[in-house]
Parts: sequence; C-alpha cells; structure tokens
Amino acid sequence: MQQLKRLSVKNCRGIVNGPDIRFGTGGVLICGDNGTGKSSYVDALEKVLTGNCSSLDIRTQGLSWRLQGGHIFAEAAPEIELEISDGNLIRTITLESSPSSCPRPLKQFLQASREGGFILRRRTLLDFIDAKPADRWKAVETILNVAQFREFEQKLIDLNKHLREQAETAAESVLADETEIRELLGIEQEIPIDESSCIGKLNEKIRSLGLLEITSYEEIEVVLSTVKQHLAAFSDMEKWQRLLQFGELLRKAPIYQEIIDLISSYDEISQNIDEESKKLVGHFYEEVLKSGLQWIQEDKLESCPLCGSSISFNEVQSYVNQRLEEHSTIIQLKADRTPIHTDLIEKIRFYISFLDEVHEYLENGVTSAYSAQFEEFRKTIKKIGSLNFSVLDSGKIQPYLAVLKKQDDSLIISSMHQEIDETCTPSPDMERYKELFQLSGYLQTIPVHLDNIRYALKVIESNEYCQTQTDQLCALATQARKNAVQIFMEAISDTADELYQYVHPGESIGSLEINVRQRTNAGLELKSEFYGISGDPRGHYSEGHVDSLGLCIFLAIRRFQFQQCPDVALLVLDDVLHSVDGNHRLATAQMIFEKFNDHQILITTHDPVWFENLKFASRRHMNGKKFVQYKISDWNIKEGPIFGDHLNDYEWLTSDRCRTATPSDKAIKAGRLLEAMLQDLCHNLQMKVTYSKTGNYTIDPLWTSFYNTALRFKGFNEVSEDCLNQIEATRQVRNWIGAHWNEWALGLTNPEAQNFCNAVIELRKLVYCESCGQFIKRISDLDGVWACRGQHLKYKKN
Amino acid sequence: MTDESPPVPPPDGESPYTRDDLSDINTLAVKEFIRLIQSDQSLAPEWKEEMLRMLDLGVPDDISSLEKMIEEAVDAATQEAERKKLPRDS
Repeated sequence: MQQLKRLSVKNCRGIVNGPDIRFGTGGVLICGDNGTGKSSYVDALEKVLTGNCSSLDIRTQGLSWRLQGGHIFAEAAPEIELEISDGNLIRTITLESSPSSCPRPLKQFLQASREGGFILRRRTLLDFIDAKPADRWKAVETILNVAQFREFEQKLIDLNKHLREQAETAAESVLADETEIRELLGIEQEIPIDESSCIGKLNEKIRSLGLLEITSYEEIEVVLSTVKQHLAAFSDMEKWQRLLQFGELLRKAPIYQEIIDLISSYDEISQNIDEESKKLVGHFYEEVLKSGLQWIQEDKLESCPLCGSSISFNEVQSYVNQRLEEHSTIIQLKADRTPIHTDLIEKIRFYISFLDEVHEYLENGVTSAYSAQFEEFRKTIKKIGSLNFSVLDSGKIQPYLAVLKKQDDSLIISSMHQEIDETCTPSPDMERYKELFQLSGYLQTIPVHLDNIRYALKVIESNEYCQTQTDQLCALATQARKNAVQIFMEAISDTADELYQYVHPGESIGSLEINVRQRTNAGLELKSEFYGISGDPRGHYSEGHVDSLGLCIFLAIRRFQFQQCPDVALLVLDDVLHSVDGNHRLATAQMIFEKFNDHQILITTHDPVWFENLKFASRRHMNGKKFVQYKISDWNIKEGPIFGDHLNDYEWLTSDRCRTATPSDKAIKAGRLLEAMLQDLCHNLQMKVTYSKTGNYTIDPLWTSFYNTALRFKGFNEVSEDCLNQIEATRQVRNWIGAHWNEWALGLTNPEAQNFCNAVIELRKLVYCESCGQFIKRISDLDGVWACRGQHLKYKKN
Repeated sequence: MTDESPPVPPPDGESPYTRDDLSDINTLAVKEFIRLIQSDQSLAPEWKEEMLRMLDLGVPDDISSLEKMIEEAVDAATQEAERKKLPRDS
C-alpha cells in the first residue's frame, strides 16, 4: 500500500520555502486562519500527484497553474517533492516525475490518483450544493472523471459539425454556379436553374443563328460541333481584326510636322541667342549676377569673399540691374526657348513610342511593303530622341533638322495606312462571327456549371444522410454519458444517505436522490426528504445541513471509487465545513474517521473547535494510526506559513512539555483552559451568570457561579471537592494571571503554578468525556442529573 | 442534441450492470452507448455495425473509420454526377 510520508513545497502559491508537512500513518490535520497557506499545500499535493491543480487548471477566467502556480514574488519555478512509502521502501516524486517511469506499484498509484477524485475543496462543495444543475454537473464531472468519454463524444460532435460545414460550402458553390449561369444566359431569379431552363435559353441563341435547336443536355456536344464548323469559315477573322487594329493605330499617328516645326523654332531662337552673345564684351553670366546679389543680401556681406575688398549691397544691386538691362534681349530669348525645349522633348518621346507600337505589329505577323523604310525612319528618330538639345549649339542641330525634314513620314506612315485599308476591304460578317463565338463559349461553359451544381447537390444529399446518422450517434452518446452518471449516482446515493444519517441521526431528513437532467446536455438535480416532503434540499435545509449533505455525497463517491480501485486510499478535505454547529461538527469528524479509517486522510480547517473534534475523533476511530497535527500560527508574503503549537491547552498541560515549562506559562495555559471549560459548563449546566453587556464573560463571574452550584450538587461535589477547593484556594493566583498573559504571573513559584495546573486538569477529567467528546450537561429528561451524552460521566444532585 | 430532444430513459427495473461495471464511469458510458445503439431503430445498419465495432475495445481513441464511411458515401453519390458529365475539350 502506497502511503504519503512527506510533502516539501517551495515557491508555490502561498508557500515560500516550507515548512514541510509530514504524514502520519493515519494522515495530517492542519488548522490555520483563512489565507495562511492551507490550500497551498493541497494544491501542491494535487499537482505533484495528478499533474493537475483543479483550483487553477480550469481553462477559463485566465487561471492556470502556469500563471498562478508559483509564489507571487518567486523568480524560480515551483518545486514540490513528495515522499511516498511502500512498506520500508521510500520513493520521491517531483513535478518532473512521470508515472510511466515509476516502478509498477507507484505507477498504478499515480495513474489511479489521476483518475479518481480524492480531493474535496470548499469551492467544489459550494459548486455542487449551492449551484445550478449545470454547475453542479461540472463539479461532479471533475470528481467522476468522465473526460475520456467526453472527448470521444466531442469527436462525434466535431465530425457532425464538419459535415454541416461541408454541406454549407457545397450550397455556396451551387449558388455561385447558378448566379454565373443567370448572368450568362439572362435567366430571371424566379426561374430555377436546371437543364431545362438552360436549354431553353441556349435554344433562343441557337435559333437566332439559324441552327438546329437541342432537346437534351447530351445534344449540347452536337450543336457545339456545328457552331465550331461555322466559326471555321471565319478562320481569318483574327488576322483581319489585327489588321484593323493596326490600321487604327496608323490612323491615329502623331503629327510628324509638329516635331519638325518645334526643332526649327528651337534652332532659330538658339541662332538668335548666339548672335546676341557675339555682341557681348566678355562673358555675361546672368545666373551668377542674380545669385551673387542674393548672397550679399541674405548674408549681409560687407566684403568680397574672393578678394576681401569692401562691398555695398546697394552699389552691387545697381550694377547688377544695369547689366541685366543691358542684356535684356538675350535674357528674353533664353526665356522663350525653355518651353519650346520642353515641348519638343515630350513630342519626340511620344512619337517614338508610336513608332515602337508600329514596329511591334510588323514584328508579329503584319506584313507591309514599307517595312524596311519604316525601320530606317524609326532608327533616325530614335537617334534624334537621344540627343540632349539643351547643350547643342545651333550649328549642331542643323544637320539633324535637315535629316528630319528629308524623312517625310507621309511617304512611309501614310503609305502603310493606305496599304492596310486596302487589305481589310471588304469586311466579313462581323456580327455573325461575334454571335457564333459567344454561343460557342456558352455551350462550353454552361455544361461545366451544370456539372458543378449536380456534383454539389450530390455532396449535399449524401451529407444530409450522414448527418442524420451522426446526429443520432451524438444524441445517443450524450444520453449514454448521462445514463452512466445516473446509474453511478443511484449506486452511491444509498451510501451518501447512510453517511448523512450518521451525522444527523433521527432528524427526519435524508432519502437522497441525485438525478441527471434529461432536458439539458449536462445537469444534476438533487432531491431529499424533509419531514416526509421531497424536494430540493436548499428549499428546506439549513446551510449547515446542505453543507454536510454535499460532503456526504462526495464521501460516498470516494468510498465507491475506493472499492473499485483500492490503489488510492487517500482522502483530502480542504476546509469543507463552515456552517455546521458544534454537535454536528463532532459527528462529522467521527463519521469521517470511522468510515474512512482505511484511508490516509488530510484535513485542513480554519476552525479550531473542529480541529479539536478532528483530533479527538482521529484518536478514537483510526485504529491506532498516527496523525500529525499542524497549527499555522501566522503567514506573511515573504515567509509563507509559520507553524505554531498545535497542542490545545489541555494536551499541553498533560504533556512532558508542561513539566519543564516556566511557572507563568503553566499558569497562563491552565487559566485559559479553566476559562474555556467554565464557559462550556455554565452553558451546558444552565447556570446563572452575572449579565455582561459586551457578551464577554471573564473567568471570575463564571467561576463564582460554577463553584457555588457545584458545591451544592452532591454527586459532583463528592468527587470534585478537592480540586474545586484547590482552585478556589488559588483564586488570587487565578485572578492575577487571568486567562491571558499577565505580568503578575511572572512572580509565581513553580509549586504554586503546578498546584493550580493539577487542580484544573483534575476538574477537566471530571467534566469532559473523552468517549463522547463533550462536556457534561444538564439532562432534561433526568431532573437533577449532570451527564455526558453516553452517560459515561454521570452526577446526581442528591 | 437540443433541450427539446426526447430523453432515452435509462434501463428500467433491475440494472443490467454489476458493481464491477461501475468501476469506471467511462467504460460504463460505453456499455450504455452500446445498449442504446442496439435498441435504436433510426440508425442505418452499416453505421450501427461500425459504431459497435469501434466500441468493442472501450472508448474509441479515434473515429477515422466513421470519417472513411462518410467519404465513401460522398464518393458513391458524386460518382453518379461524374458519369453524367459531358466530355470536355482539353
């Protein structure tokens, strides 16, 4: 049998670096306030055992072990070590361990722990009890682990969805093909697209061309062949079309004379500029004069940057203006030449691109008697086009101009144009050709669309059939899962009820029914009886009764799973009881340890009273198995949980630790125990105590009331007289020390403190029954009797 | 699959399952699924047969044989459409 031995946790949730948890053969009990790291130990244990942390790995709301599993300030990843013993053999597993690499018994234990729910958290309990049926199902599903079947069910659902998507795609394809046919043949929206409607429209076109109409889809091939024969008569049509396009190009040829005129104008102005330049004495640099003047003005120069002589802007400006005036003719001529130059460059570029297009036609099958002349002409124009006119002197332009003037394009382009016009006349029956060509296209395209539609409709049809099958399989799979859970719930509901009756004997409640909802995909309904009326327990039960009902259902599931798979004898209850009163808490503790004494148990609680109940019940019902108890006394973000003294005051006073303790420690704990006892006794024995407005009753009024009553209660006084008198005799000590730390207590001697302790211990033995786990109380049926529930302790008044 | 779908009731009267059958809820669900399929009247025999074969070894890991059945059903249906196609010029 695998048993947990030690849990070591670092950088994980609320734990920084331990302290370690050691497991007894019976298990561990941990008590600590809310937020002191109890659940962090449970999270760590679950993660290292199952690879999953159910409080975080819920795949929603941004929660995951990866994000929140580590300690908030730790840079390093969480480290968890769990020692597991198998007889004398101890093995350690960590987060990195894989069950498959473990020895067989440990492997079985780890694999089984991944399958069966052995952890119940407060949150899961609330999700189960105080929730909608669907949430309740979710809570139970993690415990039952029906994931494998769920996964298979999901695959069926996905397959079904895939079929639907395929059908939708096929339907879209049908629509696209139908739209195409409607546009080609002009079929109205209200007419369905089929062979008949397509043949009808095709026949209209066939008829207009004087061909034989078709009566069936198969005849399309025949009419297509006929149309192709008719089109053969127009075999030269493409060539003619090309010649016509070529003729159109030549007709739109740019005007060659414009280029000659521009070059002439350019040359003429350039000659005039040359003439004017000759009149100049020296050089005239218009740009230098204008830029120099601007420079002097902007930089406010007072000396010449070249010779250093002083300069005056006004003087320079006057000189520049005078020079510009003197050369106004040449300046104007240059200004006139600029737009002519721009225009000339643009016109030549355009003309060359036209010549290139003509060249393309001649290169690609169009023949002309003027081809050679044309190519010579194109070469010359391209050469001129490559010239940089702006730097050419007028003398250098002249020879090119002479060449251009000689190349009269009317001899070439116009001749070619005339030649093409003659070739294309007379024109064929262009309209008929067009219609035949169009019909040929329809006859080839429409069958493709019709085939596509026919194919897609077959896909839709077969998909529909498959969908009905997968729909039914999905429904049956879901029903099978629900039935399985229902059968399981029926199997455990008797056990759950039995456990519930243990905690609530004779309370006319129970007869639990857990039903799977049939109308939804996943939902669980609870029903139980309340004084003969069956219904949702939340309707009649107190919060505490509902809490313990949820716990009993979980425990019944655990009991069942353990019977089926005894590899995991583990039960973890993480702070599950909140609203349960004292007697029911004790009964719950007893039920857990009596019914699960074959398990190793880890229970955490925030409730110190239930902690004491658990300690009591574990001693009594766990067949001598040892429990380790921890009390978390404090927690902070930097250190994590800090363990304190887990013994209660009575346990401490009767332990070896008390013998070596200081007098003040002994007296303080004895005083605190006496106060706690007196509160229970005064309540149970219904004693009159002076009313306290704040509700806090100090030790003195409680003692006075109890002592006076006890002295008169003969049966009790006979056995308790010595200890009562001893406590009364040390009244001053008791009052000094009170129930808490008091500096007066520091002056106590060891004998004084020990006497006080012994008297309190003796009193506790007389008033608290270890078998029943409760203080004596007034028995209403037996007047004048103080007794425990089992009447192991019983005192008569007279 | 919807809220309105009629529930198939779990077995009436005495449970056909032993306590051992309840040891694994997934296996129990498979057994229930087999029982429901066997008593179903609307599933086609070939689908029924295939699904039962798949469940023979417990919860099936994959459902590729169902996918193959669907593929074959679509192929058979579309072959008819293919046959009606007119020969095309290449």
